Amino acid sequence: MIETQLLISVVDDDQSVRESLPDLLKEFGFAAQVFSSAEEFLASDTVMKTKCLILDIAMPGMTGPELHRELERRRLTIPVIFITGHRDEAVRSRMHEEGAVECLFKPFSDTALLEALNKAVPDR
Amino acid sequence: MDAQPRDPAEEIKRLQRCVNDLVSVLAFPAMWSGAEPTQIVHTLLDALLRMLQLDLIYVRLKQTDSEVPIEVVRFAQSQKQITLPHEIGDALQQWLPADPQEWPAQMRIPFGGREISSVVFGLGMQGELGVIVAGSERTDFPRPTERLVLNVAANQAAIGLQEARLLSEQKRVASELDRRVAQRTMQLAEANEKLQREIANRKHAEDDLRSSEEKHRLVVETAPDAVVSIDERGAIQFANPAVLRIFGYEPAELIGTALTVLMPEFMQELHEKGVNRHLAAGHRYNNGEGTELTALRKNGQEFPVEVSFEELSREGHRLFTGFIRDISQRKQAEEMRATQTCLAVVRADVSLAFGKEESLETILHECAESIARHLDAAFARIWMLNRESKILELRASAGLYTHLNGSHSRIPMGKLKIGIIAEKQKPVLVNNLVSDPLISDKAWAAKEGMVGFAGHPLVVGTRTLGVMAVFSRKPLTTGTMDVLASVADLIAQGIERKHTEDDLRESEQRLKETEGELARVARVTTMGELAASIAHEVNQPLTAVVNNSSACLRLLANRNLEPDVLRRALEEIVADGTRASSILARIRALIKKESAEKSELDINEVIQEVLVLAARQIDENQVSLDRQLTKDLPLVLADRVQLQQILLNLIMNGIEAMGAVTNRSRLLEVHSRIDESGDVLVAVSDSGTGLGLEVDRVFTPFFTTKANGMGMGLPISRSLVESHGGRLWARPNSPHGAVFSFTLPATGGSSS
Repeated sequence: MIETQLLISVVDDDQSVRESLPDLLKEFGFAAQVFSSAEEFLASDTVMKTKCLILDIAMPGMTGPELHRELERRRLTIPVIFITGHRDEAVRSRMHEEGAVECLFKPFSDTALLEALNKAVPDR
Repeated sequence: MDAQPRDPAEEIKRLQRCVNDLVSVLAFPAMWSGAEPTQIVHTLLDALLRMLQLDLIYVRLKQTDSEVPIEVVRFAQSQKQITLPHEIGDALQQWLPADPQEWPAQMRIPFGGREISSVVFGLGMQGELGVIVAGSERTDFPRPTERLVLNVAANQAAIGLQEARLLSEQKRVASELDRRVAQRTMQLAEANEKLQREIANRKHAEDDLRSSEEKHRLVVETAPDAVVSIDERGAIQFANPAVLRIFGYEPAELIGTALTVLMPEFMQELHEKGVNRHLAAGHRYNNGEGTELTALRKNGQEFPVEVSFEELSREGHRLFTGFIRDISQRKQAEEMRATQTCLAVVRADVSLAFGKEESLETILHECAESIARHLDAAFARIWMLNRESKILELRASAGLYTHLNGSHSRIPMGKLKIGIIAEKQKPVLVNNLVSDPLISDKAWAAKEGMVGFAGHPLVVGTRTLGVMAVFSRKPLTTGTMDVLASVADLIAQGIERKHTEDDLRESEQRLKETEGELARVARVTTMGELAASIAHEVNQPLTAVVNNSSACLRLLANRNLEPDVLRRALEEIVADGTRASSILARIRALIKKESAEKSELDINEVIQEVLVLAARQIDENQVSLDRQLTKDLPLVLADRVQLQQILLNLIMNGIEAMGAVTNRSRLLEVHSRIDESGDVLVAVSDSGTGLGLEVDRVFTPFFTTKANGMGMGLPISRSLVESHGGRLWARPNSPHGAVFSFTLPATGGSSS
């Protein structure tokens, strides 16, 4: 048993994703927090506690990559797993270039997610 | 009686007395100076009676101016005899006959029972002045001394009387002269006055006469009306100068010629008939009221006149004088008024007709009806030009004929009168319809008594829209033409407006369709984006389904069978599956015409279409548009909608890039040309904020410089261009903004 569960934050404007992901993350043994927008996440006190950020790319207002850049600007090195409904390899490679741990195309498998999480928080 | 005295002393005394008497008598003339004859006689008799102690003395004086003599008698006191002088005169008459030669020197006159010695002395040399008779009772009377005194006194008296008479005569003559001079003077004065009056009168009369003649001459010479006299044969005998101005003939030119030279042909016969009728009737023919007729100028021009006649007989010949007034201007004014009234009414009708929400046919019919009615035409028709077939199609007919399917319902351009009017764009006025070579059915014109035809083209700018015409049983005037001209304009403009309105309605319809198209294009434009975002949308519930399913599997694998957790997960899977399905249904609805249909297109045409679609955005953003489209470009093989999509994307990007520009003009340029390799090149440039260092990244998906951009427009546009075998690229514009260019391979065809 892991004494303290690592906190995974999910930022996605889609409610179904926000509803389904925490159940799976709990099965993986993580604690999960969900936010419907980048702004909401930045405004919360969760930012500092978050060990990994599962971040949607296309969102109204601040986009996923913008939030990622903002965090970097703030020198907050939170590992980021981008998730996107757009199946575009170019986007994925760009996201990698920008320092993302992974970029998953929706719908992604539980194993793909777990692999990404393991990459993001290898020391758990 | 006294005896002869003998006593010498006595004698001396008597002589002395005689001398004294003579001296006194000689002094008489001094007393009588200027006296009247009667005064002379009275003093003479008184003096002699006293001096000579006479008993009687009598004088009879002849008067020069009267038959009745003056008789004066004196008696001595002693006689006491009262006798009237003419009684003495009568008594002496027998002694004193008319001839003084027969008078006795001395006589004895019985008087009062006694005899008186009397002496008679004639007065004047031959007694022509009268007679003096002196008497005394003494028998010795007269003594010589007495005779001497009487004789001298008679002489003196004659001299005095002569003088008095002369004086009196002189006075009389003088007074007579005065009187006669005065009378004569008066007569002369009267005569003079009369003469003056007469002279004045005569002068006046002469003046009157002269002035009256002058007046008549002036009236005729300077009359604005032509005055022409003809004899019974109709030959002109006189013409005043006004004939030059009115008819164009010199007066002299007309003398002797027939009056009919001043009339148009159709009037000549009427005139001759009229003259013969009146000559035959034999009574004087005058017409002072004036008759309106048509006259003919030397130059062949017909014009309206008002003629009044006066007939005069001279030496058994009848002379007719006509006063001919040119009433062209009056008629023109009348016609103009009538024309203007007519014009106003017809224009009002036409305006009213075009103001109605009716079909063009109904409107044109109302116009034709108004024209036929107010121009008093037999019928009015309107043809409209079918621009494709070049046929004039009868669209309205009012009056005698109302059918639209007769033999003249379709007239080719250039054929018949109507076709010529349409082709030449010139109005035609004809008043001899039956003999006109361009009237096809002369038998009809003759049968129906059609005389006048007026046709006017319906023209807007340089385009003929149709022809409007009226047929009339009466001659038509230029006034008719004026009305037609004015109404033709109104109708042409009305038709044009109606067409424009129809076009507008049609273009509104087209616009609506285009807007629908635009919506579709916009949908498709964003289709790439939508495809992505829809995939994104679908992927969300799919993600949830996968997540929940994964969670369930893991719960089952761990034998962690919490029914509540499992049920919730499964319920969410059902809900998300359903949601994904409904999203796909929406996508199907959105994408209908998606498959590319390539055809040969004129790129400039597509650019124009897109600029129309973007016009509002261009306007609203105060962007100046500069299009430089090369003509006759080769055609390109492309899907019109996708091409529109690419162009619209580039144009909208350009407009949005200039949204923040406030310190310079917002200029959007769209060029089309052939590039070096023979491809068709389109460039869209803006003066916006530009791309900076991101110039190479704009085609990367999800790269966006726009607040609400998806970052998919340019990547999709590029993929579309490439799918057509072309290229799409960007470079910075100078000095500001960006240029996006794309090429498409040219086909063999050309747009021209």
